[in-house]
Amino acid sequence: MGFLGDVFSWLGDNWSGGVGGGIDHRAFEHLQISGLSVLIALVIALPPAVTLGHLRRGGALAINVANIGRALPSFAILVLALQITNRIGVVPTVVALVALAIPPIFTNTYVGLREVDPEIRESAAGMGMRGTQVLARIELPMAFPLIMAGIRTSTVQVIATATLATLVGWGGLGYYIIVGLRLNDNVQVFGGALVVVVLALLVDLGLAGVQRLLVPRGLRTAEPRWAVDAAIKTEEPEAEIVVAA
Amino acid sequence: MIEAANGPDSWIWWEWVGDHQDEILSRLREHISLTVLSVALGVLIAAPLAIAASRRRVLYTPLLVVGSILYTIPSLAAFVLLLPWTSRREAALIVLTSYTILVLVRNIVTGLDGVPADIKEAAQGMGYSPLRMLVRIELPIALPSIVAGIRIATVTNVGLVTVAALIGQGGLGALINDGLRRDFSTPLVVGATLSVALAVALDFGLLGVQYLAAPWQRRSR
Amino acid sequence: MRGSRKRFKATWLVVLASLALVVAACDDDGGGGGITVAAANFPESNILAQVYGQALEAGDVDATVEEDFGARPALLDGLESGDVDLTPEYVGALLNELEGPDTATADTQESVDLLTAALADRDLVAFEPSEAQDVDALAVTQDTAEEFGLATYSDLAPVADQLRLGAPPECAEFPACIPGLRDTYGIEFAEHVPLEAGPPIFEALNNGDIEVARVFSTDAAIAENDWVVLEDDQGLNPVQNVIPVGGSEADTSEIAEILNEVSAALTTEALTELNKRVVTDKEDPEDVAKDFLEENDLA
Repeated sequence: MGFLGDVFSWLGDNWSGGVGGGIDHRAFEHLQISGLSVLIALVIALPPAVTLGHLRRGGALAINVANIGRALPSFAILVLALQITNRIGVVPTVVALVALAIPPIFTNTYVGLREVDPEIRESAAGMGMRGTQVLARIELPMAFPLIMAGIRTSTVQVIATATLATLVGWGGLGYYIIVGLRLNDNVQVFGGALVVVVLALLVDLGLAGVQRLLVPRGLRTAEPRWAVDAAIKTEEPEAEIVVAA
Repeated sequence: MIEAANGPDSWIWWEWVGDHQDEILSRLREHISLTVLSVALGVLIAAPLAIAASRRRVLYTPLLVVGSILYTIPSLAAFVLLLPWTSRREAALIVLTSYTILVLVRNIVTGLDGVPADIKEAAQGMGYSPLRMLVRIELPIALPSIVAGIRIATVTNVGLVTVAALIGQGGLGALINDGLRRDFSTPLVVGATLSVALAVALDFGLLGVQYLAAPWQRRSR
Repeated sequence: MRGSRKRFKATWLVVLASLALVVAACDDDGGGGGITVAAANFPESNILAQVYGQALEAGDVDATVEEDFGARPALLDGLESGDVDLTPEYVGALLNELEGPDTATADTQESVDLLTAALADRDLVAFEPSEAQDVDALAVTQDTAEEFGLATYSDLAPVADQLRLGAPPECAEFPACIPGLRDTYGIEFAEHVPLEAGPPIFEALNNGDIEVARVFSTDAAIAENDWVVLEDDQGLNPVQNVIPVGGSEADTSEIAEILNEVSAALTTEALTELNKRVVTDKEDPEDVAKDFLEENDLA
């Protein structure tokens, strides 16, 4: 049990205290910044995605956002954010994480809304519902699983990418991974990575729980259990799959 | 108003780019090499795994669970954790190939699942052996899905290879790292632009292959 | 049916052709024979590695320079495994890393002897030290120095919990850095802001994102920005002469002669100037190393 034993001792020893806070403090920091970034991404991406998806316009834009989003190398975005904002720490980190979080949310929301069966929309319109009512009562609930899938994918990627932010003077759990890398200290790297993985899984499961609560029973289909599953649907090539950076 | 001359403090110092063409191209080659190699290896390993998993569902679920957990590991940590046992290049290759396999297994299985049951029955009725059915019927029908998966894996890997620069694997990430260390925007901008351009170029190239494989599928709705 | 079969075949041909390209593109790891001179992950180390590496080449020794190999622990592992044959080091820092903090002293010869012995235990060898030194230092702006009355490290201790330290990630556990500052002076900073050595730290200090900066005594930025370098009044930092360290492959008299000649020509002023050219003027370590060797008739 040598190596794992060392990891658990390390976790215990470093749980609190130390310069800049212990694991508990950094994990909280990490969660905070991830949550903040996803929230900002939602504010930026949801309105246009919902509008375009509802109006069934802008397909080309959605495809391009998806493609470019996948192609953005997270390390580069982070350092670019550093140069552009000319600040270190929280500011470039949030800028980079928001940029990375937007594509999955935008694409999945757009696709989710567009995918709504036209016949259902027509019958709703036939029943006298106005556009916004159709949107709120029919389209959004039906698109919800895909929208949530986008949010979950984004969140997991943000949590993982935030580990690189130590390089631009932020803290978070990446501190242990990068310090461990420099010091050839694998116990620290593993410990740090372990906490990140557990955090990401808990958050993903939490969001899945939220999804279950919010989706009306009638609309429940086989829901994807993992964010990653939800994102790969080959019938929707535009849906995002992004790997932890 | 006097314009600042193009120099080290500009976003792109063109003279530096000219002087360092060889280095830039060399980094680009390293980057392409690592990306393409990891995807190719991923295809070779994922194909038999996926075919087995699609036949025996018992295998598929644990594969998915393990895969989903591995996905959440930050790539830098994954690279570093292998270092005590492998060389740096091996570590990079193993991690990149693993990520590729995760994406491809899902896509291949999903693609194979999409083969209509009646077609399979008809083929069986005509006396096709399982192998022949796989090669002649199932894989061709699944091909668009498989190529879509290869696209996703390739584009993702281009981004991951930039992180591999932090364990000394060069590539365009080395330019980005230099830009970070010396507060020097030129290699940073060059490295970032080239990696996005590379990802988009590879994506479009593979998109072409996807069309070749299934032109009857409408791409946009 | 025939059309789609053609397409199908075409697709597989493309796939196979790509695989063939891949096999052809299979990059082999650089290097090969010869001496690998590896540098740590900061500009000055890259410069020194280039200087020593190019001098070896000029002296007809086959040498390859690997910049930004990693931090000290990675280099030591590399030396022991043979991936690295030579690396430019600093007497005090290396000695304390190998034998524990406070081993190195203010006396160069004494410390070098201790270092040579410590290295011999690991089948490694040290060459002659240079007079050039690069001491790790802490710098603050004039304003910060005035506000908190800072002139020495000891002055930092009572106010450190109000100050943020900008230093590379590895400082968290380097003997002469955070642990040493804590144990020798009782300094506990409010925060360790992890930043790469050099310009990222300089920018942060100027922008007010950190109050205390970890710098090298050979950084040109110190003079350029008129910063106050705090005095290490209790001698936490030992001598830091530049000294090449190598494994068995590098342990030849031929190589020793070349390296010692270079070390003799290296001065702190020269090193500061070389640093400035690479870090501030964005020149390449390779080029400035070449110039240095030519100016000193070592090429």
